Amino acid sequence: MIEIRDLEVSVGDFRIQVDKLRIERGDYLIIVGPTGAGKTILLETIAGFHRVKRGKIILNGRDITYLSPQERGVSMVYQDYMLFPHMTVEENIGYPLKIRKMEWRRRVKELAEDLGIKHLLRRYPKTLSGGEKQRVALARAVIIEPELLLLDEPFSALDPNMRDSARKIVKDFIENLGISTIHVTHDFSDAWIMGNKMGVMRNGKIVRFGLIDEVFSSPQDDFVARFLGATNILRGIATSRKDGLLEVDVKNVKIYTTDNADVGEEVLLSIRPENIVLSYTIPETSQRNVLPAEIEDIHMEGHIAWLILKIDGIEMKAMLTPNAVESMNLEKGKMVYASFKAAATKIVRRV
Amino acid sequence: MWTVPHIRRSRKCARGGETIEHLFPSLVLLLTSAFFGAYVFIPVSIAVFLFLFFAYGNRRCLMLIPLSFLSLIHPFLSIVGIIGTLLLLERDNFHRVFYIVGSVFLVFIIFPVLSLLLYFSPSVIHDTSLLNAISVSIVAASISTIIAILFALPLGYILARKNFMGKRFFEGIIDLPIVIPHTVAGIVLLLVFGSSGIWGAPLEEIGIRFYYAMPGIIVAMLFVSAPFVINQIKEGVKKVDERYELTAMSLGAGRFRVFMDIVIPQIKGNIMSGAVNAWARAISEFGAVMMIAFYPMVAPTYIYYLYTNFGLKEALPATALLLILTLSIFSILRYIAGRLEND
Repeated sequence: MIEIRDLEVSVGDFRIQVDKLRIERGDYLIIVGPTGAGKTILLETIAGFHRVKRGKIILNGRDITYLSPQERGVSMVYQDYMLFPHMTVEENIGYPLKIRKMEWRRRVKELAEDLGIKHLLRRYPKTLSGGEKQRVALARAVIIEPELLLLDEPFSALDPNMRDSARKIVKDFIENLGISTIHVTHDFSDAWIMGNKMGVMRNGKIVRFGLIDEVFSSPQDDFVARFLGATNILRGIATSRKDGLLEVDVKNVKIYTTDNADVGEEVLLSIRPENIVLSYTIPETSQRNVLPAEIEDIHMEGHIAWLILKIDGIEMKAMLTPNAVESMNLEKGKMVYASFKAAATKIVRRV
Repeated sequence: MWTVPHIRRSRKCARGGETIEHLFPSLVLLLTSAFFGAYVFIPVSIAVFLFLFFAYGNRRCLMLIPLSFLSLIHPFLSIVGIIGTLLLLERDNFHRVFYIVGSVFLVFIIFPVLSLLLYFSPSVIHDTSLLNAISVSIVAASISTIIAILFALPLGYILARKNFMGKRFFEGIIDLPIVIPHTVAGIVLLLVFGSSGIWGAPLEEIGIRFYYAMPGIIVAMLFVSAPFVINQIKEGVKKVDERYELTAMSLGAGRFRVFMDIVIPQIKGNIMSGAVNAWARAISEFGAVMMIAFYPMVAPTYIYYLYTNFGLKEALPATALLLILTLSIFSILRYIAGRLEND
């Protein structure tokens, strides 16, 4: 468990201020925010690289605010991995154990095997690909079983095609170890696929914090909403499957998807707001999901009209053109049918 | 019409596929040999032209061989063969001019050095005062280089990593020994390290004497040569991303351990080349050393002593030996430093 209270840090002209942030053991916290929000500085502060002006950082009941980095039990992986160029992969991974004068070669081999990098042990970092470097850096960071793992945009240096497989490897690996993790990124795919909690950072402050789907479904703040983009994220339980469709129960609303998950499994669904069609009568189309909804709010944003829909207990956003809103005479409080294809309903993660 | 053989037939070198030119070394070689007279110039130019013929397969190179015999008429006519090479292997007038002017300067260094070597005679190795002086030089330069490294590691690190008031001023101070006249440096050191100096007097009481003694030589060498090590280490540390250190610390290493494990291995090339330069500077120092300690004589002092007491002719063989020794040690060290840097 890590808890941050009233933290204030200045680095150069930059200041971050985190009033409260708390995650439990085994949590995977994703912090997103635009460039310059102070995400890396927050990680570096937790790692102990910056002097804290005031506030407290408590890790598993231990006040680490003023401890030096090597006493914290916190491992940091930078986005460019910082593998020591003059050491082989094996020496890099084993370095934390070597410092502690512990037997390291055997443990390095085991870890390398788990991560599929055993064949690289004798090589030097500059001969590795981005994905290989990342796995080496991860192995080095976890070999001492840190109480907290910090990842700074771990996938940004990778080829976009490789990110998905890398995310899966890293996620499974960290999940197996059960290490609490804080991962900063500006890529939302990281959030859905990897995290269970999420914080949004802006101008050095955490402006929103909570479970991933909570944050996505009610951003509570214009900036957060705009920054997160518009995707509707819903958490539900897969209840049954027939005709190639999976029925997911989201707060008693049944939603169908063509994606797959095991029955009984908890999943996160994503529905893009531009895929939601509104009508006053039940449409005679192939759309599998047709839900009665109340328009809770409409706001215009240039050439886009955002509609907040209330469907029983869930809230969804739909995106229309201002023309459509006018010609259909849509207004706050009216009842409509919201429909969207099962194929446009994606399972972004099995929880 | 001149053909352009080096473009059409230039050889590709294995390294990086870059074309390697032979023109510049040929020019330097021809120019240098021209100064040694026709009997040196003719065989050298025949060898060069044959080599160029085989390298480029250009028959015109062979035409230059008879031209080299013009130097028999007057050594100045060697220039005909040299200009011929230039015209044949380079088409661009701009490059021709720069090639010839550039090689003239190299000859300005190489020719005097080579002519001194002609005066080398093996009998000088029986001159025990010379051998003593050389060993004093080598020992003192090595000790001063080691001391310089010990101070330069922390100082270079601080200068590279920290920002503080007056940083540029302090960096200027470090370079000061390079710019002040070395006799001035000698006087300055004499003032404080001399037998009645502020530091010299108490140290002399505990048995460390600087004036006319080995420690004085070392201090003088240290003073003039340390800037090379400090600046090299500073540049080296600047190139090591500080996040390597932070990462190593978060992995459990203490500050000192990080410095030894992470920083030093990455700057070992800089340490070595700084040390080589400092060592070379120390061994060549005359002004400051002579002011504080004429005895025990270092090699440059001994050469000066030979020259002033017995004239140029007597000084030449000893000078040649010193030159050969320093050149060979310097090139070996440079080679090692280069290897470390490329790692």
